[in-house]
Amino acid sequence: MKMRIVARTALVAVLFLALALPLWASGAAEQTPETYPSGTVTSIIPWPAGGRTDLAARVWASFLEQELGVPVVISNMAGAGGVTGSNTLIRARPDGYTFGVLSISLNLSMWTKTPPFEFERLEPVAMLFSAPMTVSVAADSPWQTLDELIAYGRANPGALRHANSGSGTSQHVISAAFFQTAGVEVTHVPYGGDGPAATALATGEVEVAGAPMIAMQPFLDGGDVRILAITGEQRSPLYPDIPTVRELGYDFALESFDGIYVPENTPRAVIDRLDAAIARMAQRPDFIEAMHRISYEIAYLSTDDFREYLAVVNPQLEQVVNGLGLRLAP
Amino acid sequence: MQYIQETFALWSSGIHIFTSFDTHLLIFVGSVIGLLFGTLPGLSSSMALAIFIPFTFGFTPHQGIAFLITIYTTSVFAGALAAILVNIPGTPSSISTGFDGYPMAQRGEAGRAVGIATVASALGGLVGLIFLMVFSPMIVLLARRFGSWEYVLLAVMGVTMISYISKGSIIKGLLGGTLGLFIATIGEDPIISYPRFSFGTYQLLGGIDFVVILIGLFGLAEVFLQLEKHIRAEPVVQTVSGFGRSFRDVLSRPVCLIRSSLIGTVIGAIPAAGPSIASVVSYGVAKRSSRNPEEFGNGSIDGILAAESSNNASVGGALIPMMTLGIPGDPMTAVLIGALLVHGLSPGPRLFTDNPAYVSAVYLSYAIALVWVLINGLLGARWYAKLLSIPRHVLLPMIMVLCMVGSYSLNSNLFDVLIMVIFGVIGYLLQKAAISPAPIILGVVLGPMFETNLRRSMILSRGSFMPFVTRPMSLAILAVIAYIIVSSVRQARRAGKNSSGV
Repeated sequence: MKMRIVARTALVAVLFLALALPLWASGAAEQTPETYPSGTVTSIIPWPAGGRTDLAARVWASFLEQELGVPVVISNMAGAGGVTGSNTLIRARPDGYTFGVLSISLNLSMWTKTPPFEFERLEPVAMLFSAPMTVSVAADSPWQTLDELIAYGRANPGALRHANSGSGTSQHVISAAFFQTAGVEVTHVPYGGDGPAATALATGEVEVAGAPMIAMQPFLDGGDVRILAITGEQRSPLYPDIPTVRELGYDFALESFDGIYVPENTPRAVIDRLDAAIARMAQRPDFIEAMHRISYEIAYLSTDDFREYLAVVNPQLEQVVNGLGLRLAP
Repeated sequence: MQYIQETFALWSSGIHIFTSFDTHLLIFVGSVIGLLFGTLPGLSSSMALAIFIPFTFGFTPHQGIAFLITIYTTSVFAGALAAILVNIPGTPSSISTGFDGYPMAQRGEAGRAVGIATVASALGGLVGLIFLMVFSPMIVLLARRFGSWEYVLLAVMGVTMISYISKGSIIKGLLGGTLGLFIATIGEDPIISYPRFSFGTYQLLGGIDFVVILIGLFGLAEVFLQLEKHIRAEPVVQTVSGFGRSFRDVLSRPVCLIRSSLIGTVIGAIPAAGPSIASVVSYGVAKRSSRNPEEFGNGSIDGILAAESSNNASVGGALIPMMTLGIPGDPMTAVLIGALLVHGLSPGPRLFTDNPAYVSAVYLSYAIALVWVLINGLLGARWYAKLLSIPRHVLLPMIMVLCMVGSYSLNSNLFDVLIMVIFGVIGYLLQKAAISPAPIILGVVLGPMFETNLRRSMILSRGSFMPFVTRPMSLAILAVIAYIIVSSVRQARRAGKNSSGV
């Protein structure tokens, strides 16, 4: 009888340990900048497992592992449009063993969320990807060129219904800013994501959609949609036939971007080492090919260049948010 | 005739993939992974798929998709195990399985309940597969007619199910549903992103994940309820039942099986509807058309059958728009599309002409995964039932730890654990007041669907309600809702006359 109780207790203890193991394994040992990286590195993805950003992270993490020489673990901390995970990053130990991959929507969260997101408490390491928005219409619509669409929109204020992935998202902000520049009043219709927005265009619920290329791809293949232009500064190497809005005569260029950040007070030596590994990765042809397959465009910027870029783009974004009346945060 | 030949050529073009031993080994490993992720609450099917995508980089694309499809199929089934054995739905889609599975297990028939769930899952999955293989084009036409207006009405139809899934008083069921609708308003509003009930904290800004609420209301609340009983009470003696019984139980109810599988396939094919809504709707339909509706909620075989066949059929349904249009209907198919892209394939119409072997690999691995579900569930039923003979003072702390780990692992967020505990206490108090948790969860799931789509459709139509009656699909759903309401009122009247009283 006694033996049975001991055995049973042991069994329970083992089960508890097995359950607690993942929690325990996430703690890291003491490290110095000179030895970086010498243990597992965690990358925070502030979106749920299975999303577009998550999928991309799982692909590039396998390359970054090779460049850093240590395992890179993805940790999904979703919630509040990326703010939950990013706040966790801000509070992480500033030793380079925890970094985050954050999109332009976090820059926007400085003004569009209450409480506002403290973007300035993050140190930029490098810019990795950029994604222009498309100006897309249904294939059976009368508009063959961007000019025709804009002319119709100017003549009929509010008649163009525009699908985007939700108020304050980069998709909404970039597209809304473009139509404002072009002098067209559109009716914004928020959908819960890029996929639903693209589907709404294909099924004829709306006239225009602003979604990144990756969401439009299946509908482009199926012959349901037509892409009139993209909002990037340059044409995309993935779709060289699609013109930019600037080429077509509109003074506008703004695209979404993903950067790598660490918490403030991370030693510069650590940031440099991380940046060097990312730079090596960004040049590998096999990496570029793997990312192109999932429609990710590589736009590497080093730590200093990325800082400069942010110094220019952040005030621009603030202006856009104010101009659109999207400001919520004090 | 030529069409049939071409179709068969398409189906069989991938057979060579399944002649190698490696593929079957991968499918076996996939089914074990799916079982694990499906059973543990908080670990979802989509999480399992996302985590294992990098493992497929080393496989051929065909083997990779076979592996992932197996994980998907098995995890949807495995949610039933936790629901039946400990009353915690392992996945949101198995809520309705627990309504009858858990009472059955409590009276010593856990093995039988698992057997029914297994056979129903496999056969429901088979119906889904047949529809995927044969009727894809028709189902796609139907799914593409679903716009914002239709989603509003689908949510309304879901709400009418509250009276079927709440035990006892309908008023209390509606009360629970309203509470669920309120909980769903916490966080940023879906249209203009304005914070509601977030009290200036970022933790509440994103709203409350409904899986966290699910674990609290069902799992932790159940632990509290069990604690009231004598801790040393003898566990329920479990009777063992054979394989034949499971098949007889299911096959003797062909109408319920086929109806539930059809409902599952169609709702699964509608983007954003998914297995949870499918299982609730088919449970409600099974109850209203049953001759013994009073059995539902007290261990009805039809209840388990309806829930499990429909949620597995919805897997086949969800694959229809994914394969034919490249549209992800739910988080799971979104991950699968990602996996395809990583391997250099893009789903959609071109896949069928450019890469038929791949399409065939999806169909065949789905079928093989269903066979593994059968083997697993039928051979394992006896052992899963053994779990219930673990003494209560050992089992309850284990379930409690499971609730904690499950709610944490969802977003690696301790705040979620706190919310889970709060809902555990709320759930316990509500059960004391005879308000069952299922309508609350239904409210949480349907609330955002209703609100978002209603507000969006009003923007689209510039404030006009006319599209609800001018769109044919929307009008058809309206008619179904009207029929459900009118016939339930009639039924209630007749019941009232017969028993003269309540």
